Amino acid sequence: MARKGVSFIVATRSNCRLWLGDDHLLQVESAGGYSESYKRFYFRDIQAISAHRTSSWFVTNIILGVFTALFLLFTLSVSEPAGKITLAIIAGIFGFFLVINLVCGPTCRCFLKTAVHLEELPSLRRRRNAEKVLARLRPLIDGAQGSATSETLAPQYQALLTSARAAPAFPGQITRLAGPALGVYRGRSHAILFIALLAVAAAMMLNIFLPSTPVVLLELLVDGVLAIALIIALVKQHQTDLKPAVRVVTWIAAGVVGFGYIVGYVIMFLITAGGHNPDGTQWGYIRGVAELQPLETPWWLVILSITAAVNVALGVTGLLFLQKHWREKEAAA
Amino acid sequence: MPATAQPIACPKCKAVLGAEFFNQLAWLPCPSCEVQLRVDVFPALFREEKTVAAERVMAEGEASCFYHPEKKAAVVCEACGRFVCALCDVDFNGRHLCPSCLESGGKKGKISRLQNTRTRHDRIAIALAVLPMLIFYFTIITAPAALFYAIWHWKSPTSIVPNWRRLNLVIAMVMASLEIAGWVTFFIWLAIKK
Repeated sequence: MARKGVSFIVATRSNCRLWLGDDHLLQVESAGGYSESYKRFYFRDIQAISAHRTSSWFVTNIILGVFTALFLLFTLSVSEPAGKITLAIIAGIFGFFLVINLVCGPTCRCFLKTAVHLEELPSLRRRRNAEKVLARLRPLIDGAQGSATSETLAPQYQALLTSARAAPAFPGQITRLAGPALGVYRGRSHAILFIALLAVAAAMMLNIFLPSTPVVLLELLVDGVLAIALIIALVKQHQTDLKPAVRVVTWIAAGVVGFGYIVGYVIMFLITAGGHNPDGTQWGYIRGVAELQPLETPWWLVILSITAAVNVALGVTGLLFLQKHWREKEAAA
Repeated sequence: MPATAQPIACPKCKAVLGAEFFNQLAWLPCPSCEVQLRVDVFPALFREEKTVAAERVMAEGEASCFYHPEKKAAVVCEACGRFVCALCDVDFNGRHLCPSCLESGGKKGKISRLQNTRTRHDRIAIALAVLPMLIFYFTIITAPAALFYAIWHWKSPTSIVPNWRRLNLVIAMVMASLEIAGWVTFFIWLAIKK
């Protein structure tokens, strides 16, 4: 039982945690926070633990850095104090996450091999963390199996390669023995994306019936969350076993969001041209949008209604497909 | 060499790795995809799994397996006391069990190591007490439900790793009680107002 003499050894990632038992490693996967499933890896059965660096850290740094810089530029370009403060706060949030990501260090993916399966350890996604955990696990596994160095393992491994009729890869080798396997999709990025789509639709409906500056600001904020969720979801679904239907919905959502931004710029031009934004600033644009009473402006009502309907359709469809994906995964497990 | 053993491959590109990559305690580039990787290999990779064959009953009166009467009994199940052959004997953490005891132990939760799912009743109680507060009208139903649920599951088994189960249940009960108190006050106020 992991409770006896157990110690928390690693940080958590999304819904996975690793615990150290007296003779095994316990992986706890939390489903929605309301139930937990357990996988036990006994020290005597662990054949290998391998890890490889990933580019997530670098990519996340670039994305967060670009957003921080963009919002800082917006902050400097806006003259009104309210707009300046709002944009500075958004830039600060991005900056905060950038610093956190920089401090946490490079990312990696870690796999544990036994005689019957190769299991990913999703909680070990930072290189520093993985090294710390491996340093702690090695003596325990050595204690259960006996220690082995590269030299002592070499003759046995050579025999294994011979029996498996395989040869180690050599530097510069291009042909691979097998194509890169699809990773296991984990996390909730798609669920967040689809919920964000529904939230945007709700904000738009609110804008139709209660048009005001705070509602427009809320809509912009939810739009921002949607854009971030979309980028994360697109990155996360890359080369994973996520259901193709969910991927398609995600890409359609990307198209809709992209189109929405183009429409947004057109509306900004129309509002400025229509005299609703006399000072020509971002804050003036927000007030201009708020002044467009959708129930009295047919074209604006049509845009908001269609966009809200499309978002609801995508959000609901995405959530249903995602639920189906998890059900199928559960059934397969 | 174990027939099932597979060579160690790069976790990214699946190219087979040489022994020079093993247990270096450093990140080395994969010869095929050049991703930085670290591989720790243990002797279990080369371990031969023993296969056991149950012996046939040779003499009259010799103890036979409960599940295979033609096979010779090798051990006694430590849970039910049945005689089992070498084939039916499951060595589980030093205990000798028969397959049916192992199965029922897992299902009934008697063998904690076989349990692979648990429900977090404490979190459900908290959610039931807190989330409906967003649309507080629902709390008229959910608050008593949360209180009942927390009391009902006070002794139910929860996560096998250390957790704040009791504290969560207490918080859920306090929150639910406050919501019920709020509704009672509201109805008393309505009655007095009339």
